[in-house]
Amino acid sequence: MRILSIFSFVCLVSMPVSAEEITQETKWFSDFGLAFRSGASFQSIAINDNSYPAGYLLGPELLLSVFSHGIHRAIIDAGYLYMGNTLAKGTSQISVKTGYQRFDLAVGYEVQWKLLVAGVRIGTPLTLVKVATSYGDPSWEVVEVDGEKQLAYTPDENARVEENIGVSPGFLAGLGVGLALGKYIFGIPDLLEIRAQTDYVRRGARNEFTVWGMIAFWPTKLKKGK
Amino acid sequence: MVVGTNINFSWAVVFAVMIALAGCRQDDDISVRLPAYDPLVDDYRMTDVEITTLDDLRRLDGRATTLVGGAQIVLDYQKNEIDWKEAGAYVAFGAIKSDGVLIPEDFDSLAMASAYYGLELSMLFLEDVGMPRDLLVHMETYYWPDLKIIENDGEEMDMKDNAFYMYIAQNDRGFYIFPYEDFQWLPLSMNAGVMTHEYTHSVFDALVYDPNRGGVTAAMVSSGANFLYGLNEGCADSMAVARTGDPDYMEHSIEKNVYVVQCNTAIREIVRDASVPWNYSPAIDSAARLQPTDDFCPYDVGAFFASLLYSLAQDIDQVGPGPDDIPSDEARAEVARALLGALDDLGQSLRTDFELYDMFSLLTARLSTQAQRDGFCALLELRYAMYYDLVEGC
Repeated sequence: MRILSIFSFVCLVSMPVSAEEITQETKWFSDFGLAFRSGASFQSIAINDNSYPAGYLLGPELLLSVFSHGIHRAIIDAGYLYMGNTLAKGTSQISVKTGYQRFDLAVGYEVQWKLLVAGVRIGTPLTLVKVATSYGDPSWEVVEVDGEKQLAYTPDENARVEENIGVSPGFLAGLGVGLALGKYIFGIPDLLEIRAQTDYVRRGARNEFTVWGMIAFWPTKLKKGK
Repeated sequence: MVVGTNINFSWAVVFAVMIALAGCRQDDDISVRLPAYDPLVDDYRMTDVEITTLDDLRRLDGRATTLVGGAQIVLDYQKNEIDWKEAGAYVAFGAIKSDGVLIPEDFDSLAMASAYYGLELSMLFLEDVGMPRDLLVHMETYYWPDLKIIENDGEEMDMKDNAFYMYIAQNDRGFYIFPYEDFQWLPLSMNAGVMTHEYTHSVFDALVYDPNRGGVTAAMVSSGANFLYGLNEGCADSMAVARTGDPDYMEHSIEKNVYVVQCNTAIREIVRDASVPWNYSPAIDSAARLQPTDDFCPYDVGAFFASLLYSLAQDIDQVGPGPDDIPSDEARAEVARALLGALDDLGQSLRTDFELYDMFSLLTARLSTQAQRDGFCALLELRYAMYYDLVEGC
């Protein structure tokens, strides 16, 4: 909460607001938005929690404005991410292939002034983990490569493959900044936003950092017009 | 003000719940699906096993060992020093739950949990057969460290396809499991016999070397050091076989008839099989007596010793001497108990010109029945004829 307060304070101080641009009307559950996001994920690996190989991510997100008043608003967002950090590792005898997808549910606090949007969010990411473990009896033969004898393995066609899918919960905290372009392109405030966001996810003993860009479209603003 | 307080409180509750969800320890969930040895089919199968000694499942940190990843080490024989470039970091075991069983979510989590489980079973087995619980210091297991070895001639080598116990100084005392490259079968970290073999080296260290470090061991003649080195390997194999009931436990990770190694003057199959009887030969004897300690290959002495103790377990269990005549858990534990006691005795009586028959005398005295002693003496008379007369108690 201290971080939230400091962030809010910084935003308010650094963004002078002119009274005529800000409506002081309080709205509840007034708008929803559709967004698409894509970026990169850096998840710590099993054998070293200080090592973060990169993988891409992409997916849609739903936004719901729960509360707005002046420059302040609170939102709920629910998103899906396909995580492009599929792992496939093992020997010819035993190997594991792992795929990740993520469902985020978060609440956010945002401030918007003219073109600028900034916010924080916290929530629970549910990481869907698909694990396929293969165990077989590979055949092998000796081959000569560059004059050196090596073994060439042929995987077992009848290897036993066991698939499991599970959900791994976590904790998410994120910071984002963006531009509300709707007013300046379509003449409708907030209709369209672009944002850059960074999230930190803690899942079990693993850290995950994601950096992504997002385009958000708020269709309910259309009928309200300017 | 009141409303604001309520909102802050709600946020705090939400925040706390999320933190709890994210960081909750899974220590109660100790059933894990791992490859485990099935003696009925002489192969490994994915099995739901119980891990009982973990303090922190997510870090694979417990009484048996603590897994460490990402270490970078240079072992320089030219400078005679070990340089830790990176001490390593905690590992991050990941798993999903299926029907109450944890399924490791990636290969490394599977391999590391297997290593912990293998070391835990080794520790519990050795405690069951008499190893004092607090004699061993807690040790790290370095998983896939980057170990560069600089040989005396300057040649550099990155360690692969290996697992060992190492003790150069107190801060590097631990287990090391290296990346696989050529060995594409069951990884060494998943091989129960290999883990017990390495764990037994640490026990041998604690019982035999530690009480004599800097004293007797520093003054040992080369033959004494060579016999002790061979005995160390033999004990490690014997305990691995005693715990698993798998006399050729290495075969699951390295198939037979693929790799050979030069051991002293002979070319040997790299996979040892305790069910194959060895006789103590003049070649084994002269190698141990004449080879400089730095050049001595201990595996012939070790293979002879392990095959002898395997035959002893068969004799105690009164099963046949064939490779498929696996002695019972009780017979193997009986041999392990006598072996551990003899090692403890050896640590108190080690002499600088140690001979294998010193160990056999101690082992004979540790066997619990006259029938066992008679059986062991008969085996020694047959396979250790060269020095049989020097074994006390036979």
